[in-house]
Amino acid sequence: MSDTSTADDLDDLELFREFAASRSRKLRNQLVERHMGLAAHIANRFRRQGGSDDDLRQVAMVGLVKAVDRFDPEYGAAFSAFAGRTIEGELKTPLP
Amino acid sequence: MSASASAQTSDGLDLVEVTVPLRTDFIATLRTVAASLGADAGFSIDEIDDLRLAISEIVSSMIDSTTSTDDRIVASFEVGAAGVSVAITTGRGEIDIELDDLAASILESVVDEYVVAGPRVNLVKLASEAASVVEADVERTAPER
Repeated sequence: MSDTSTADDLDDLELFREFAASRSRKLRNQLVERHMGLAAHIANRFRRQGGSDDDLRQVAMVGLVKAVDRFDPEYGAAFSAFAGRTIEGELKTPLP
Repeated sequence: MSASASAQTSDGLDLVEVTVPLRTDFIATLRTVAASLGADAGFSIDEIDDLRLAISEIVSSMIDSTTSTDDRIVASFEVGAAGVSVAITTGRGEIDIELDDLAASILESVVDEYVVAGPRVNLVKLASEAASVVEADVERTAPER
Protein backbone atom coordinates (compact mmCIF):
# COMPACT_ATOMS: atom_id res chain seq x y z
CA MET A 1 0.00 0.00 0.00
CA SER A 2 1.33 3.43 -0.90
CA ASP A 3 1.88 6.23 1.61
CA THR A 4 -0.84 8.27 -0.09
CA SER A 5 -3.52 5.61 0.28
CA THR A 6 -2.54 5.06 3.92
CA ALA A 7 -2.92 8.80 4.55
CA ASP A 8 -6.31 8.75 2.79
CA ASP A 9 -7.43 5.79 4.92
CA LEU A 10 -6.46 7.66 8.09
CA ASP A 11 -8.35 10.76 6.92
CA ASP A 12 -11.33 8.53 6.23
CA LEU A 13 -11.18 7.01 9.69
CA GLU A 14 -11.09 10.44 11.31
CA LEU A 15 -14.01 11.61 9.16
CA PHE A 16 -16.01 8.50 10.04
CA ARG A 17 -15.32 9.05 13.73
CA GLU A 18 -16.46 12.67 13.47
CA PHE A 19 -19.54 11.58 11.53
CA ALA A 20 -20.38 8.89 14.10
CA ALA A 21 -20.27 11.52 16.84
CA SER A 22 -22.09 14.34 15.05
CA ARG A 23 -24.29 12.61 12.42
CA SER A 24 -23.70 15.75 10.34
CA ARG A 25 -25.11 15.58 6.80
CA LYS A 26 -22.25 17.69 5.52
CA LEU A 27 -19.72 15.10 6.72
CA ARG A 28 -21.89 12.27 5.44
CA ASN A 29 -22.02 13.83 1.99
CA GLN A 30 -18.26 14.41 2.07
CA LEU A 31 -17.71 10.71 2.82
CA VAL A 32 -20.14 9.70 0.07
CA GLU A 33 -18.35 11.92 -2.45
CA ARG A 34 -15.01 10.35 -1.52
CA HIS A 35 -16.30 6.86 -2.31
CA MET A 36 -18.50 7.55 -5.33
CA GLY A 37 -15.90 5.84 -7.52
CA LEU A 38 -16.45 2.56 -5.65
CA ALA A 39 -20.22 2.76 -6.18
CA ALA A 40 -19.76 3.50 -9.90
CA HIS A 41 -17.29 0.61 -10.24
CA ILE A 42 -19.68 -1.91 -8.66
CA ALA A 43 -22.63 -0.55 -10.72
CA ASN A 44 -20.53 -1.12 -13.88
CA ARG A 45 -20.00 -4.76 -12.92
CA PHE A 46 -23.76 -5.23 -12.70
CA ARG A 47 -24.33 -3.51 -16.06
CA ARG A 48 -23.43 -6.72 -17.86
CA GLN A 49 -26.38 -8.40 -16.16
CA GLY A 50 -28.89 -5.91 -17.58
CA GLY A 51 -30.55 -2.73 -16.35
CA SER A 52 -30.01 0.87 -17.40
CA ASP A 53 -26.80 2.67 -16.46
CA ASP A 54 -28.57 5.48 -14.61
CA ASP A 55 -30.79 3.16 -12.60
CA LEU A 56 -27.87 0.97 -11.57
CA ARG A 57 -25.74 3.96 -10.62
CA GLN A 58 -28.54 5.49 -8.58
CA VAL A 59 -29.20 2.24 -6.69
CA ALA A 60 -25.46 1.88 -6.06
CA MET A 61 -25.34 5.43 -4.69
CA VAL A 62 -28.20 4.68 -2.29
CA GLY A 63 -26.24 1.59 -1.19
CA LEU A 64 -23.20 3.80 -0.62
CA VAL A 65 -25.22 6.27 1.48
CA LYS A 66 -26.54 3.36 3.56
CA ALA A 67 -23.01 1.98 3.97
CA VAL A 68 -21.68 5.33 5.19
CA ASP A 69 -24.61 5.58 7.60
CA ARG A 70 -24.07 2.08 9.01
CA PHE A 71 -20.28 1.86 9.07
CA ASP A 72 -18.72 1.50 12.52
CA PRO A 73 -15.17 2.94 12.35
CA GLU A 74 -14.22 1.19 15.61
CA TYR A 75 -14.95 -2.30 14.26
CA GLY A 76 -11.61 -2.44 12.47
CA ALA A 77 -12.75 -3.36 8.97
CA ALA A 78 -11.92 -1.27 5.91
CA PHE A 79 -14.82 0.86 4.72
CA SER A 80 -14.36 -0.27 1.10
CA ALA A 81 -14.87 -3.93 2.08
CA PHE A 82 -17.98 -3.12 4.09
CA ALA A 83 -19.40 -0.73 1.48
CA GLY A 84 -18.76 -3.17 -1.38
CA ARG A 85 -21.00 -5.79 0.24
CA THR A 86 -23.67 -3.24 1.14
CA ILE A 87 -23.77 -1.79 -2.40
CA GLU A 88 -23.91 -5.27 -3.96
CA GLY A 89 -26.76 -6.18 -1.62
CA GLU A 90 -28.65 -3.07 -2.69
CA LEU A 91 -28.10 -3.85 -6.38
CA LYS A 92 -29.30 -7.43 -5.90
CA THR A 93 -32.49 -6.37 -4.11
CA PRO A 94 -35.31 -6.57 -6.64
CA LEU A 95 -37.07 -3.31 -7.36
CA PRO A 96 -40.71 -3.13 -6.16
CA MET B 1 -35.11 14.85 26.51
CA SER B 2 -38.58 13.71 27.46
CA ALA B 3 -40.59 10.69 26.47
CA SER B 4 -44.29 10.25 27.02
CA ALA B 5 -45.74 7.01 28.33
CA SER B 6 -46.98 4.92 25.46
CA ALA B 7 -50.70 5.22 24.78
CA GLN B 8 -53.01 3.95 22.10
CA THR B 9 -54.18 5.81 19.03
CA SER B 10 -57.78 5.70 17.84
CA ASP B 11 -56.71 2.87 15.50
CA GLY B 12 -55.53 0.81 18.47
CA LEU B 13 -51.85 1.33 17.63
CA ASP B 14 -49.26 1.96 20.33
CA LEU B 15 -48.17 5.60 20.42
CA VAL B 16 -44.73 6.67 21.64
CA GLU B 17 -43.74 10.35 21.68
CA VAL B 18 -40.19 11.59 22.17
CA THR B 19 -39.14 15.23 22.54
CA VAL B 20 -35.50 16.26 22.18
CA PRO B 21 -33.67 19.56 21.61
CA LEU B 22 -33.33 20.56 17.95
CA ARG B 23 -29.61 19.77 17.76
CA THR B 24 -27.55 17.19 15.87
CA ASP B 25 -26.37 15.66 19.19
CA PHE B 26 -29.85 14.25 19.71
CA ILE B 27 -30.26 12.57 16.33
CA ALA B 28 -28.63 9.49 17.86
CA THR B 29 -31.35 9.39 20.54
CA LEU B 30 -34.13 9.40 17.95
CA ARG B 31 -32.29 6.80 15.86
CA THR B 32 -32.04 4.53 18.90
CA VAL B 33 -35.74 4.87 19.73
CA ALA B 34 -36.64 4.22 16.06
CA ALA B 35 -34.45 1.10 16.00
CA SER B 36 -36.03 -0.25 19.18
CA LEU B 37 -39.58 0.33 17.94
CA GLY B 38 -38.69 -1.09 14.52
CA ALA B 39 -37.42 -4.24 16.21
CA ASP B 40 -40.68 -4.46 18.19
CA ALA B 41 -42.60 -4.21 14.89
CA GLY B 42 -40.68 -7.21 13.53
CA PHE B 43 -38.40 -5.31 11.14
CA SER B 44 -35.36 -7.03 9.66
CA ILE B 45 -31.89 -5.55 10.33
CA ASP B 46 -31.98 -3.82 6.93
CA GLU B 47 -35.41 -2.33 7.58
CA ILE B 48 -34.30 -1.05 10.98
CA ASP B 49 -31.28 0.61 9.35
CA ASP B 50 -33.55 2.11 6.68
CA LEU B 51 -35.77 3.64 9.36
CA ARG B 52 -32.76 5.00 11.25
CA LEU B 53 -31.40 6.55 8.05
CA ALA B 54 -34.78 8.16 7.28
CA ILE B 55 -34.96 9.68 10.78
CA SER B 56 -31.42 11.09 10.42
CA GLU B 57 -32.20 12.54 7.01
CA ILE B 58 -35.39 14.27 8.15
CA VAL B 59 -34.01 15.67 11.40
CA SER B 60 -30.82 16.86 9.66
CA SER B 61 -32.95 18.62 7.05
CA MET B 62 -34.99 20.24 9.84
CA ILE B 63 -31.84 21.48 11.53
CA ASP B 64 -30.55 22.81 8.19
CA SER B 65 -33.89 24.58 7.59
CA THR B 66 -33.74 26.71 10.74
CA THR B 67 -31.40 29.05 12.57
CA SER B 68 -33.22 28.53 15.85
CA THR B 69 -31.07 27.05 18.59
CA ASP B 70 -33.64 26.67 21.36
CA ASP B 71 -36.43 24.78 19.60
CA ARG B 72 -37.16 21.09 20.04
CA ILE B 73 -38.13 18.11 17.90
CA VAL B 74 -41.25 16.13 18.66
CA ALA B 75 -41.27 12.63 17.15
CA SER B 76 -44.45 10.55 17.41
CA PHE B 77 -44.12 6.86 16.59
CA GLU B 78 -47.15 4.67 15.97
CA VAL B 79 -46.25 1.01 16.17
CA GLY B 80 -48.46 -1.70 14.72
CA ALA B 81 -48.12 -5.21 13.33
CA ALA B 82 -47.70 -3.88 9.79
CA GLY B 83 -44.94 -1.41 10.57
CA VAL B 84 -44.13 1.97 12.06
CA SER B 85 -45.55 5.42 11.23
CA VAL B 86 -43.55 8.43 12.36
CA ALA B 87 -44.60 12.08 12.52
CA ILE B 88 -41.75 14.52 13.15
CA THR B 89 -42.25 18.21 13.79
CA THR B 90 -40.72 21.02 15.80
CA GLY B 91 -42.01 22.25 19.14
CA ARG B 92 -42.95 25.70 17.83
CA GLY B 93 -43.87 24.53 14.33
CA GLU B 94 -42.37 27.65 12.80
CA ILE B 95 -39.99 26.17 10.26
CA ASP B 96 -40.67 25.27 6.65
CA ILE B 97 -38.80 22.04 6.02
CA GLU B 98 -36.99 21.87 2.71
CA LEU B 99 -35.72 18.50 1.53
CA ASP B 100 -33.00 18.71 -1.11
CA ASP B 101 -32.92 16.26 -4.03
CA LEU B 102 -30.51 13.91 -2.27
CA ALA B 103 -32.63 13.75 0.89
CA ALA B 104 -35.76 13.14 -1.21
CA SER B 105 -34.06 10.32 -3.17
CA ILE B 106 -32.83 8.70 0.03
CA LEU B 107 -36.26 8.86 1.66
CA GLU B 108 -37.91 7.43 -1.45
CA SER B 109 -35.65 4.42 -1.34
CA VAL B 110 -35.72 3.70 2.42
CA VAL B 111 -39.37 4.24 3.43
CA ASP B 112 -42.67 3.17 1.89
CA GLU B 113 -44.32 6.59 2.12
CA TYR B 114 -43.41 10.09 3.22
CA VAL B 115 -45.14 13.47 3.16
CA VAL B 116 -43.61 16.86 3.92
CA ALA B 117 -46.07 19.56 4.97
CA GLY B 118 -44.66 22.79 6.37
CA PRO B 119 -42.99 22.04 9.69
CA ARG B 120 -44.11 18.40 9.72
CA VAL B 121 -42.89 15.20 8.06
CA ASN B 122 -44.90 11.97 8.16
CA LEU B 123 -43.40 8.68 7.09
CA VAL B 124 -44.46 5.06 7.00
CA LYS B 125 -42.15 2.06 7.05
CA LEU B 126 -43.76 -1.34 6.56
CA ALA B 127 -42.28 -4.62 7.74
CA SER B 128 -42.40 -6.19 4.28
CA GLU B 129 -39.31 -8.42 4.52
CA ALA B 130 -40.30 -9.73 7.92
CA ALA B 131 -43.80 -10.48 6.68
CA SER B 132 -42.54 -12.46 3.68
CA VAL B 133 -40.10 -14.43 5.85
CA VAL B 134 -42.88 -15.34 8.27
CA GLU B 135 -45.08 -16.47 5.37
CA ALA B 136 -42.26 -18.60 3.96
CA ASP B 137 -41.58 -20.14 7.40
CA VAL B 138 -45.25 -20.97 7.85
CA GLU B 139 -45.37 -22.65 4.42
CA ARG B 140 -42.15 -24.58 5.10
CA THR B 141 -43.17 -25.82 8.54
CA ALA B 142 -46.84 -26.51 7.76
CA PRO B 143 -47.57 -30.24 8.19
CA GLU B 144 -48.47 -32.09 5.01
CA ARG B 145 -51.99 -33.41 4.85
